[in-house]
Amino acid sequence: MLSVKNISKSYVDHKALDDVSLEVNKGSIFGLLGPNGAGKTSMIRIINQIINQDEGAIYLNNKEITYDDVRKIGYMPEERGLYKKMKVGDFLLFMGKLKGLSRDKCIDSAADWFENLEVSNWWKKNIEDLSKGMSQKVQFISTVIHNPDLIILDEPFSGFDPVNANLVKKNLLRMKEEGKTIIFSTHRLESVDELCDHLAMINNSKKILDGNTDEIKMNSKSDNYIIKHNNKISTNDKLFSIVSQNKLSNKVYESELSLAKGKSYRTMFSEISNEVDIISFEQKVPNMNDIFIMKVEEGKNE
Amino acid sequence: MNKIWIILEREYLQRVKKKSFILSTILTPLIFPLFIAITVFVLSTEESEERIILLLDQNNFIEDSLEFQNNLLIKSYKEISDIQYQINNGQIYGALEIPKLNIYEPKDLKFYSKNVPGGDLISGLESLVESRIRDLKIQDLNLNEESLKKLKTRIFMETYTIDLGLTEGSDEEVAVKQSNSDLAFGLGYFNGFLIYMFVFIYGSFILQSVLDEKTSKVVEVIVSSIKPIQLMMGKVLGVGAVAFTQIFIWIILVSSISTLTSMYFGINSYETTQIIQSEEEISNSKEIVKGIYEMFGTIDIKKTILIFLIYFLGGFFLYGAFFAAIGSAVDNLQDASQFTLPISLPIIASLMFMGIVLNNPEGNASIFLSMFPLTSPILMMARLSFGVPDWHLFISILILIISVVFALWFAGRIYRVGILTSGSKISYKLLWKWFIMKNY
Repeated sequence: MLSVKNISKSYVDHKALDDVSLEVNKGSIFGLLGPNGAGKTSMIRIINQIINQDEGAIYLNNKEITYDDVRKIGYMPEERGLYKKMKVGDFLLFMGKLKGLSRDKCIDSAADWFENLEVSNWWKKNIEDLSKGMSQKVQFISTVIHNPDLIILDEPFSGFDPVNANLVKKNLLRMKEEGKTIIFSTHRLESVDELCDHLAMINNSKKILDGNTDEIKMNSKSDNYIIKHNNKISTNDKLFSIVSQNKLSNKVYESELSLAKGKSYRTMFSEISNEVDIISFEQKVPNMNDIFIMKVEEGKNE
Repeated sequence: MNKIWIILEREYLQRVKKKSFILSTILTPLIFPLFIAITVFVLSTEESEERIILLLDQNNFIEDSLEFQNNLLIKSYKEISDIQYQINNGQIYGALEIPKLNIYEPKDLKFYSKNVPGGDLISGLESLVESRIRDLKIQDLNLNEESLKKLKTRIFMETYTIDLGLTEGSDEEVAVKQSNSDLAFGLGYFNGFLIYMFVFIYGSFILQSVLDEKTSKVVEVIVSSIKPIQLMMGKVLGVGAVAFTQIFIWIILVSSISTLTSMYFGINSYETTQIIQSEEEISNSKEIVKGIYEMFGTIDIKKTILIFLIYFLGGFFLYGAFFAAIGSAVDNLQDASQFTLPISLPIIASLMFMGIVLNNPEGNASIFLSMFPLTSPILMMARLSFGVPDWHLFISILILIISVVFALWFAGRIYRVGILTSGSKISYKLLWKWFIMKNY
C-alpha cells in the first residue's frame, strides 16, 4: 500500500535518514522501531509531507503520494496537544473540517468513537478541564475522526496509562480487522511483538532490520533452551553446555542450556529426562530488545 | 483557500468570544473621552497651597508685595545668606534676587529654592520682571504709552485649500474650502497613533497565538492536514479580522456618540438656550463644540477612513508577518523579546518621526518616510489630513503591498521550520539558515 523508497534527509547539523526504504502492506500493522533520535519521527514527518526529503520518494498505492493523500492519513504526532481554551466538540469539529469532513459526519463519527473508547459524551466539556487520560483519548479521536484508511501514530503509547494503552491497542487491532493499515513508531522495543505484523528497525539514521515479526524472531532465535527441572543436571559436553543453573526453590531448578552444533534438541530432551524430571522445556526466543542489541553489535563488527 | 478559512474562523471566534475583547471594544470609545474630560477637569481646578517667595530687589523694580500665580511675593531686604535655612526647611519656598542692574543690560538675576522650580514659575517671574523693566524703559525714553499700544498688531489668518472638484454645481467663483492646520495636525497625530497602537497590540496577539500553538504542541497535528503557510495566513487573517471588527465597532460607536452630541449641541441648542437664559458658560461650550464640528466638515471623512483601513491592513500584515515568524521560532515569550525589539524599532521610530512629518508634511523627509513601507502606515496617515497628491498615495500603497507580499513569503519560510523546531538556541544566523533551506 505504502512504499518508501530510498529516503535520505539531512538537517542543518546532522543526517537523520540515510537511504531508508520501507514497504507497508494493506491491512497490516507496521512497527517502526528504534531508539530515541534514530530518525523515526523524521521518517514519519516525511511520509506526512510535514517536512520534505532530500532524496527518495514515497508511493501510495503505486502512485507518488500527493498532498491530498496526506490529508486522508490519520496522523498522530509524537509532539501532540490540544487547544486548551476550546471545547472538546469545537476542537473535533475543527479537526474534522480540516480533514474535509462535514459537520454532521463529524458529530456522528465522534459519537461512535466516544462509545468505542468507553467514555461518556464529552462534546460540551472544556479541554482544560480534562484529565490527562481523557485528553489523550480526545487526541486519538481527533486523529481517526475521518475514518482514514492509513493511520500513522508516532509513539502512540508514550504518555498513555496502561489501561488507555490497552484500549488503544484493542482499537488498533479492530481497525486492522476492518482492513485499515496502521504504522506506528516506538522506542519501547519489548512490548510491540504482539501488535505488529511487520516491523523495521532504524538506528543512527540507517535501517538495520526489516521483515515479518515472526520471521525475525525465528531467524534470531538461538540454540539455547530454558529448562525447569527437579534436580541438578550434570554436564554433557558432547551434547550441550550449561550456560546457567539456578536453584529456584526446593526441588525446582532453572537452567539455560546451549545445544552443541549438529545435535537435535530431542536427543538433549531424552538425555536430560533420564537424569531428572523435566517441569518445562522451551526454546529461548529473544525479545525485540535482544534482537536490537544483537543487530547493533553486528553493525559495529562489520 | 477553504482550509485557510477554517483556521481563520477558529482564530476569529476564539478571540471575539473572549470577555476581554468584548469589554475593551465597548469601553475604549467611552474611556477615551472620559480620560480627556478628567484631564481637563484636573487642569482647570489645579490649585495648590500658597507659597511664599521673597523678593530681594535692590532696584525697587517691584514696589510692593503682590500675588503671583499661586505664590505670594513678599519684598524683603535680607541677604540670601540670611534666609537659606528657611528655604531649606520649607518655611519659604524660594527667593528671587535682583542685583543692582542697568535696565538696558539686565543680568545676574537669580532664583533660589530647595527643589528645582517648574518652568511655568520661572518664565512667569521672568516676564514679570521684563514688563517692569519695559515700563521703566518707556519712562526713561519718554515714549508715549498710547502710541506704543497702537504699534501692536495681531493677525489671524484663515487658511483655504483650492479644490477644483468642488466647483461643479456650486455658484462660488473660487473653488476653495476652509482648512485648519491645527485640526490637520491633531487628526494626523490621532490617525498615526491609532495605527501604531493596533499594529503593536494585534501584532503581539499574532505572536502569542503562534507561540501558544507551538507550546501546546497542537501545531503538528494541524500541519498534517494543512500547509504551514496556510496555517500562518489563516492565523494572521483571523487576528486581522478581529482587529477589523474592533475598529468597525469603534467607528460605529464613535460616530453614533458624535451624532448624538451634535444633535444635542446643534439642533437642540436653540431651545435649550431659550430655557436656560443666564447660563453663558453652557452656550460658550456649545459654540466650541459647534466649531469643532464645522472644522471636521472641512475633511473628507470617507476618504480618510478608506485610506486609514488600507494602511491599517498593510501595516498590520507587514508587521504581523514578522511577529508570526518570531512566534514560530522561539520557545517562550522571554526569548521572543530579543527579536521583537528590532521589529518594534521602526514602529517606535515612526512615532518619533511624526513630529517632523506633522510640522513639514511636504518636506523630503516626510515624503520619504511616507513611502518607506516600515514607516508609511503610520506616517502617511500623519500626512494625510494635510492633503497628499494621489500619486504619492498610489506609490506608497503599491510599495506597501509589495512589501507585505515579501514579508509574508519571508515569514512563511521561517515559520515552516520554526513551528516544528523546539529546544534549539535561536540566533539570526540560524533563522537565515532556515530561510534559505530548500527542503523542509
